[in-house]
Amino acid sequence: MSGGDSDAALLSIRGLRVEMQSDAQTATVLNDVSISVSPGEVLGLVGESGAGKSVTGAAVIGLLEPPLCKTAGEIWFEGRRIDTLSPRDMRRLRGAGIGMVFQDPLTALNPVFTIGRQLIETIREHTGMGHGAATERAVELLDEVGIPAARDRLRSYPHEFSGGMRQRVVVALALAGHPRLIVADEPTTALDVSIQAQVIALLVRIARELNAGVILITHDMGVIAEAADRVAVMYAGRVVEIGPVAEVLGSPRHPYSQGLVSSIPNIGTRVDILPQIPGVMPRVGALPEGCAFHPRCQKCLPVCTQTPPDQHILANGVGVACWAVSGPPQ
Amino acid sequence: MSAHTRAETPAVTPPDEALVVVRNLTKTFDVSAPLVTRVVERRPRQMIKAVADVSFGIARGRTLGLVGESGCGKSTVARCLAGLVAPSEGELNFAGHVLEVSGAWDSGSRRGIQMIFQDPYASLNPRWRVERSVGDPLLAFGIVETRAEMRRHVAGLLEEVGLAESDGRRYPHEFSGGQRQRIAIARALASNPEFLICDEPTSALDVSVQAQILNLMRRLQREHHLTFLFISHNLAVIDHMADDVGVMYLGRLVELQPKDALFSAPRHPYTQLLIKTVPNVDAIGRTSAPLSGEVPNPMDPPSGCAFHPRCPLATDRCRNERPLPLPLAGGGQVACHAVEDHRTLT
Repeated sequence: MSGGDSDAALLSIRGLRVEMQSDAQTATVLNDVSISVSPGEVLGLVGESGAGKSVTGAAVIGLLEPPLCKTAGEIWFEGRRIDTLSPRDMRRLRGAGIGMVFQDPLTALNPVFTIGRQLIETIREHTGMGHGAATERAVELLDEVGIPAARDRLRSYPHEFSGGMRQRVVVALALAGHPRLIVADEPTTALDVSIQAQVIALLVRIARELNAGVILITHDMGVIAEAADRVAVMYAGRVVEIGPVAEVLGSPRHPYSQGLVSSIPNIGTRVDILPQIPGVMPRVGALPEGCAFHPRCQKCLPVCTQTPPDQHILANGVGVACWAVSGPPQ
Repeated sequence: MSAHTRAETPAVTPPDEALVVVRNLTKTFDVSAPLVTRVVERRPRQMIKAVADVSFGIARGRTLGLVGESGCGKSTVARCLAGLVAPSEGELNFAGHVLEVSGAWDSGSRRGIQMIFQDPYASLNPRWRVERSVGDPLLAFGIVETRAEMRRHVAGLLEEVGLAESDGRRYPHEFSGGQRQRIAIARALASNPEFLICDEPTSALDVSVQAQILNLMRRLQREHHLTFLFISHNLAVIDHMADDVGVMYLGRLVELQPKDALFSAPRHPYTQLLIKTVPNVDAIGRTSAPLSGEVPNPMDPPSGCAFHPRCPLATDRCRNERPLPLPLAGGGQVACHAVEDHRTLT
């Protein structure tokens, strides 16, 4: 595990394995995922669709639903093991200890209640405040996330807000129970670029000011570069590279991270042909033997086709799971 | 081409040299409530000006990129050009042919203009084999006579976009998003068009697949001498693909410049802030949101310059008077009072 002592970690996931189980077959969705988040830290989870980013997030907040099922590993939050909690205890922890922000703010809010009612109810549920105090707190929260005329907006319905404002309301809801960890799953994917920058800046400010940990799940490398302290690159259900953002994005070591970073067009860097990774990510249930990336990899060794690589910690604190980087096993 | 005409033209490419010319395109949508509701509740008609007074030209073999936030009208421009919606005002011209009042092109132009859409899951008929989707234009335009001929032609098109001949017998659900976009490109190429309108062609794709599709499109442009209108909200993709770039805001073209000038020396404050806002892989640890506020409601656009509520340079003139396009040295145009008055962002 890179980046800090796991004892000091706010959240620590160890060897998480999630499978999709059906009558016909069992397919591995996450395999041996180990990551940790410290207070005040933004951890980016990046990868292409189907890499397992959202499933990792869902596992943390205890929202894995059949056919998905955790079959190995542990999740610890503030020194307490949470993956074995009863649904009732987990529900209490969600919101109070761990807040959530999802991609689509319209589905995260109830369309038939005013946002004031939704906020006040959530605050009362998690803090036991009376109605008056909870109302004041709701105004404070809306202020905090940058909604103008907060007190008047309590009476508004979700449809009366724009997309960016709605996502701010969702962030306010996530903050209602004083969470120490926020899981944000593609929080800006549905938003315009100028609004995206505002919401990302808000999340980072919250992490710093409230000393909360943030897991920021996104497919956008640019967002990760700007917002995250550390980043985990995921591919086909595994973390292939994890470490400080400057290291992982600045000088990626895993062939997949290298391909991913260089295939993104960048303003000002003109190339005639974008470097591209051939092929597509294998589907769940059809993973190749050995390293899942080997059919697309330029540096594939004989061992890669047989044995999945272990995570190897480099001198700069970056963890890489690649035989070509760490050298084949003895 | 005299200097006189060049000064008058609002576009980077002078119309005489352009394959595609758009002059003062305006599209208004009627979003009024139903007639009875309007009468009973005494509500007025409501119109949205999705595109207002947009002019540009695209020279043969070049790519014009259109960029802007959602609701800025870039897709409406594309749809008008493709003949899918009829413009309310203005003149569209393709290779000397004028778009008819009904909003349709004559059959010759229709064959020369094709479009690629954003969502490859929605743009292919799920119940048609790929062969039929790609081959239909061939039969419709009379390019081939028999089904055997069509199959041969389709096989060639599929190979050209990196698919196999046997893929023609399969259905769209058997393909990934990137492969489907390849099929959509093959279909667009079937009628041997000169002009391709690409509306966010890679926005629904993963980044490694996006690179594959962008590379494919550039190769096809070179080999077939295609002219592109390339629409994206992603400035980096526009920078990679376009020769000239137009920036739209609330239905208007606020700046139009050759790519190099636009990215190295953007003139309009909106363009400047937009470029700064884009998350960049090289900008590690920089979280800033230089562009405050949101795009206003197009039903109730701000007075004067539509950008003034978000503009750090706004003055009373900006609030009251709409800026007109100002020709720039080196071709191109910008619509901004601040640029005229030499006020700049610090």
